[in-house]
Amino acid sequence: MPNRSAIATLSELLEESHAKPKMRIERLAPSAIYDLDYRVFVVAAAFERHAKAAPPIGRRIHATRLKLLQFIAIRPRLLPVIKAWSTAKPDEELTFTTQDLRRGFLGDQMFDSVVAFLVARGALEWMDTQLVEGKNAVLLSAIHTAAIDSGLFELERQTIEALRGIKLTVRMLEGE
Amino acid sequence: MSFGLEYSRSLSQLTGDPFQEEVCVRLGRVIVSFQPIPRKPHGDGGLDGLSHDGEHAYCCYGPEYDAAKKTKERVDAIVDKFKEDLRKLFELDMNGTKLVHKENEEIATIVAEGTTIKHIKLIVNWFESHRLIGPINTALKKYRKASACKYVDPTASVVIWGPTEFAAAYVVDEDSILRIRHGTLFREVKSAADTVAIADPTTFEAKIAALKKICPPYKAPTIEGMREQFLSDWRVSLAFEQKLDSSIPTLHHALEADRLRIAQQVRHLMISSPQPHVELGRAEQIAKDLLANDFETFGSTLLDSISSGEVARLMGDCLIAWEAPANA
Repeated sequence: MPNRSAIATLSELLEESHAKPKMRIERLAPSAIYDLDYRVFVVAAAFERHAKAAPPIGRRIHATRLKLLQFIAIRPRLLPVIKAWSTAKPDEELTFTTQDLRRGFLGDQMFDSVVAFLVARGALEWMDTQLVEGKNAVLLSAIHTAAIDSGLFELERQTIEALRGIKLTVRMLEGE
Repeated sequence: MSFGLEYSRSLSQLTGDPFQEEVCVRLGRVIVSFQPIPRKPHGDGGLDGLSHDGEHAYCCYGPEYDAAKKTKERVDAIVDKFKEDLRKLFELDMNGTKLVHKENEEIATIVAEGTTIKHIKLIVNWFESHRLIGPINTALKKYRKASACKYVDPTASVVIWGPTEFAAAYVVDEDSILRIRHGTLFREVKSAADTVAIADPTTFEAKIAALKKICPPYKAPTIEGMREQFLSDWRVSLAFEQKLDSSIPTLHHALEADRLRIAQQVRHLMISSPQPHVELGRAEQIAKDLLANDFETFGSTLLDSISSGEVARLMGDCLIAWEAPANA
């Protein structure tokens, strides 16, 4: 016979003690992962710290690299996975965790939407597979600086810095 | 990565019962006459499955992977296990170094009268050394000689298959991939739940303390048991969310939306019911019905776990509250 569920036990206890249960939906906090402002900051910070100067077009970054960087920045627990993946030998079999990570960051549709927003806003521009500074690129540095000045998103910023010491190979970005 | 490669890699990660279950499920899908043999309550007589009118036998072995083990130790463990299975089929046992007859009562209830096994497949989750083949075939020859061959034909052949051979033998379809992926996911979530930390259980604990105050003292053990169960289910929910977030972001979004729907539906039912606690008690079923839209393909076991986890989270995040009776 299956165990009685915890919620059924709670229901019974409340009934016996004549307490009236309520559901307070207002306490349900949505995940920050789907917050546009938050995601704009993370993309801006990743771009600011990882984009390379490429005169005469301004700084640029491979879009998939930016996608992976911002994905890890939001999930610092994945840093050891990306480190291990980065140092794996070319013929070494991918672990299941790295396969999951690859599927995860490539499936991050929120990033695609944020980039579309930033391109529309003129902060970024597409150049083939690269994202380059747009005419309003100052927006990105302004957001990044504002967060630093206010001491916001420290963990994400630390993760983005830590990622500077990890080599992201073509194999990681484009597959085997 | 091809389906075949993904399947064989995933299969090589399975051990013990999950390995045997997957092998038997897959054989059942591709061989019409495949008959799995349950181990409980009487034992499987050394057989995990039969097919082809009882003439083909299947034995599975999925030892736990131990990185510290050397190839020879792995080979020896697998050879020993399959030799033991073969001795059972040949109704033999070891008396020191001598083979002696030992009746296998269970096999008599599995193999049809007048049928003898003519081909045996030994399926293992690690087959990276040819040194498995010789000792097992040598043992087979010895067992043929020593046995009365009541259930196994004297000319019976034995082959060993590892994950690669098993994946290559039959077409790996999307169904197989989905099944093995979700099985792996379920085990990973369960394992991660043991170590996942609940960031701040203060308000949850305060709620439990408040419940103890309005309930008679003899209910304290029940409340404690409920508390433990909520915490355990809550950890599963957190582990599952983390897993989805880092590997299947689109489903993570769906989970968020489902969470809100569960809370809304339970609240609507509670408001409209003269017995809101009854509706609250049905929360898990409501969660399961709603989550099934997005997670049914994960299988019923994982769906059950996610549902109880999401309801525990309603309690953990303090969405569930109550008005204490006036005299409390």
